[in-house]
Amino acid sequence: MRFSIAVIPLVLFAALAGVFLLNIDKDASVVPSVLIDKPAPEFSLPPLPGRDKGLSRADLTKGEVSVLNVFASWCVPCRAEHPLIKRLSREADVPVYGLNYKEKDPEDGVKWLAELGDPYAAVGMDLSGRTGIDFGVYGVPETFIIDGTGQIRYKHVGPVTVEVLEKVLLPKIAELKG
Amino acid sequence: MFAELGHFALLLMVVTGIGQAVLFSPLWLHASLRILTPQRASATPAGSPAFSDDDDNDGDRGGAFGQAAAKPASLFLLPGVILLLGLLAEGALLNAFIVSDFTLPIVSNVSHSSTPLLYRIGAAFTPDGGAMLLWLLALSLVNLLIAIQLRSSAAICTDRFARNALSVLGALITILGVVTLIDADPFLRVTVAPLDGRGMNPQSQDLLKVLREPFLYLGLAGLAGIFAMTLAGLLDRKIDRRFAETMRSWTIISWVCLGTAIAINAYRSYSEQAWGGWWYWDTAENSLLLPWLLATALLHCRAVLEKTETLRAWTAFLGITTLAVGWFGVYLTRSDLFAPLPETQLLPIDSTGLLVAFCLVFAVAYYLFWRSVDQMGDGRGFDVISRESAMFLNSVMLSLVAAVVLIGTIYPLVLQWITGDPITVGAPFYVKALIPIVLPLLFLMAFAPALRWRQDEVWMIGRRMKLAAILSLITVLFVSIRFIDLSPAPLIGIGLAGWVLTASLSDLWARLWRHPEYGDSKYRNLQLLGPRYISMTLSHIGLAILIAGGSASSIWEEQVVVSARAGQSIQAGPYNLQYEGVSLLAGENYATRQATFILYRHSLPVTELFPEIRYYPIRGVETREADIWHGRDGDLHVSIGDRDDDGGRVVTVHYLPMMPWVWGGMLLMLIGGCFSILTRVILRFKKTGVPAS
Amino acid sequence: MISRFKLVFGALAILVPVIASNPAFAVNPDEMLSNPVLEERAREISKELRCLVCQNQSIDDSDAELARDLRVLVRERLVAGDDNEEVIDYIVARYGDYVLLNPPLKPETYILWASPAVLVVLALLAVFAFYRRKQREGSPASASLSKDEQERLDELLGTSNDDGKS
Repeated sequence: MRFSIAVIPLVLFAALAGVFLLNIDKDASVVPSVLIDKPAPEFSLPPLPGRDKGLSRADLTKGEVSVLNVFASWCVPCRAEHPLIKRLSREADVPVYGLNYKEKDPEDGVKWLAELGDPYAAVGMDLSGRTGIDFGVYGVPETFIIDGTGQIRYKHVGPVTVEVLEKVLLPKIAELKG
Repeated sequence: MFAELGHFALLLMVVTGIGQAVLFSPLWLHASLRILTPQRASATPAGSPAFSDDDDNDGDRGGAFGQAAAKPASLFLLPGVILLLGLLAEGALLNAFIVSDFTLPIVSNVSHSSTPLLYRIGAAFTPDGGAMLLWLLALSLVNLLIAIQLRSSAAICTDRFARNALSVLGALITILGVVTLIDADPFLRVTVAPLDGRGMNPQSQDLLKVLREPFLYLGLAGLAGIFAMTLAGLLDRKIDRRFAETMRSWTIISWVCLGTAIAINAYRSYSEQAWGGWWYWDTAENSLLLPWLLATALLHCRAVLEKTETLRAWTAFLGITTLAVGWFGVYLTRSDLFAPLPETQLLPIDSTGLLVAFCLVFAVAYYLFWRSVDQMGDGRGFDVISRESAMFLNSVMLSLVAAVVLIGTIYPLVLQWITGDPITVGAPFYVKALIPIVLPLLFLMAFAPALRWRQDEVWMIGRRMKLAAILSLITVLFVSIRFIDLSPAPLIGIGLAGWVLTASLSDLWARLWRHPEYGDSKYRNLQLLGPRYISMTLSHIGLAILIAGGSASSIWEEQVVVSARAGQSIQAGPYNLQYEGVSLLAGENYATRQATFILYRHSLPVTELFPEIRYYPIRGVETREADIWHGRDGDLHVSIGDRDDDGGRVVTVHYLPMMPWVWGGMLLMLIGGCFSILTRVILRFKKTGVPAS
Repeated sequence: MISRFKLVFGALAILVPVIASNPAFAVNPDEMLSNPVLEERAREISKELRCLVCQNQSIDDSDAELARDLRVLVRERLVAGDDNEEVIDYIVARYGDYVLLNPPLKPETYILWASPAVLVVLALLAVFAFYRRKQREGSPASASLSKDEQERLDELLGTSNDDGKS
């Protein structure tokens, strides 16, 4: 009987160690979205100042796969990922929409795009952050892949890196397209 | 240059650690032999040391060296050298931070030329490499102290026990040293140095935060000492009274150090948050709390072991597990598992080595526990109604609390790995899950001083506890009548706190004034009580005060949020705050908006308060610093926010009645622990004079 | 190296616009509802919701910008006539159970919620078994002590400072 009690710590320890060792390279810091495989929320956002096309849910349901990238001029990692968003819009052959999240000044987004280049098919301006909340945005930048029926199929939180672009986003888009 | 010296010292430390592990004890040889031939070990009769006589006969080089190295004089040699090397390495790292040597990435990542000197030193403890080095230094200090202790108490512990314990410590130093070198080598250089550093995380630029780290790692090193002694005891199958005596100081030292780290952590979040909260059950806090809870459990069941030689397996188990949860906590906070946002990670963090080493060390330890524990036998035991029994139940319940906290901490992580479903385990869970365990714990705690060792009678206890029961019932009645619409939970908290408090005090009173064995001189009576009793009473009263303060402040807190203009006066509790305005000031490496408030109590000026919003340009981060007045009846906690659209300043005033009790209670608990250590040291010096060299 | 002078003035230059435009602060007066009942409900709900970018803090406690947005949203939903549960569901629909500081009872959390009770029961059983075994081995009072044990006991009772019954 004592034997069996003494073996409990060993077993519990082994189980815990096993779980942690097996998952050592998994990234748990990203919160998976509950919106995956759910229709994108209803929204309609005004255009950036000086432009005439805003962004609304209708743009995402045109029957083709699309990408929605949440960015802001005040967000440092957005600047870092921007070249890769440009590359994404060139290589993926799908429309990449921009959601300009919570600018302090509406002009900021325009200036930022003028400086770094504008890869977006259309940009909606979300000054209040309410559309962001509807999309479950919690850390900019975030990148959504949406299928032709307007269903959210994938979400990447944090800056897109070369690895993420090549190993995750592009294959995912290709898979959805074809 | 110095960094290379430090690097070399760290490397030598690992080598010397191997030396200590191998030379002090042929344990490793035996461990491998035992794993190869398990029947041999189980054939050994219970209670007898398994390999007592093989040491001298096997003529192995390690064994021979072991004997040589264990000669009393040479017992210090290796630990002394290791401590010197540790000091050298830490000194080299501190030097790199002090002179801002940005060719070391560890410096340039968390420091900046404009960071004040004190925080440059503090910054040396925060990155992985620095923290590991601090742990190693604390470990080598404990290593030397244990070598001294075991030598001077040669009458108490066997030479074999001492050698085994030091050998385990040597192995731990080696393992952690290797982990440091592989995972987070602090002395790596880059050829192209950045012009300046990235600056310290402003959240850490705080004296208390700087002080927290040494206490934490000293506490963990103390737990490592206990761990080493436990393994040595298990190897000898001798978890007995002598063993309990030997590790007594270390349980208290670790308990005090970890408790200090917790108190500092709580006070720091209290003075940083706008809302007067001081405990959020986040991973960092839980991983401080866990080893402290188990250290408290160990403290109690160790005393039972010393008195009755019962609970051998349980004490040994706690001796191992306390370090295990401490180490695991370091891993959880050091790894990026709980980083709230990917972008907050400045550096790729790799704590794989720490986890692998953890698995290795504790797999061996629990295996040893499993192999040895059923051959140890147990003491005669104690009555269900006895002080031992209360202490035993206390250690069980504290371990339950720790188990629930551990489950709550890792459950979201494991669930997300297995099912991909993210959940949060926050304060509401801990409150609901812990209250049913903590309430009986507090209820029982009050009995501890009144219970007699080994055996007691229910009616006797009833007589001793009568006064406490009546007084605490009166307290509860008074509070519940006076404040009719109270929710039951804090009321029960206050009631139980009163119960523990009055029970402790009335027992003290009875012993000082009424006990037949004691004389008329109260001072003499106090001496007769002994340091252990006084230390226990202080800590128990401290906990009662802490709980009373926490419950009361949660009930009666008052919070006022206003948009204030200069000259405006804000009422909170018995206090009146007059807002004088905000001035823009320059700190050493930050700019700050400092508001001035004049605090009045019943229209008499008491003091001035200066909450701030600091801006650290290097990292581009703002921090808020509340200002707090600890009054007689409560804390007044002020913080400022931003200017709102019509020119007012957002001011948050929190009046927390009885909040000073929380801090005072924590302090009293720690004083209780320190008292026990200090009197022990003083008594020892008195008895033996200055320990002879 | 940046001189102190430059640093501080650089900081001040940056600070002025940052503070002027940064609206984040836990429950600003301008967020509060004039209806005290609704405001009280809003605070209650906010205490249950996790600030996503913080460690286990509720949105009521947090300075983070997103927490502020969520606080405002909670109040808007309340004004629109939602009851507490509907407000929480609204947020959960967007962010998942992750935002609930109090983990909901569902198959994934059965183990979590059951664990305290199971642990208590196991501990009770173990303690009970411990006392049973000790009793079977002989009560401490009646057990005959070996000479060594008796010596130790005497030593303990003699040196210990409490008034144990002998």
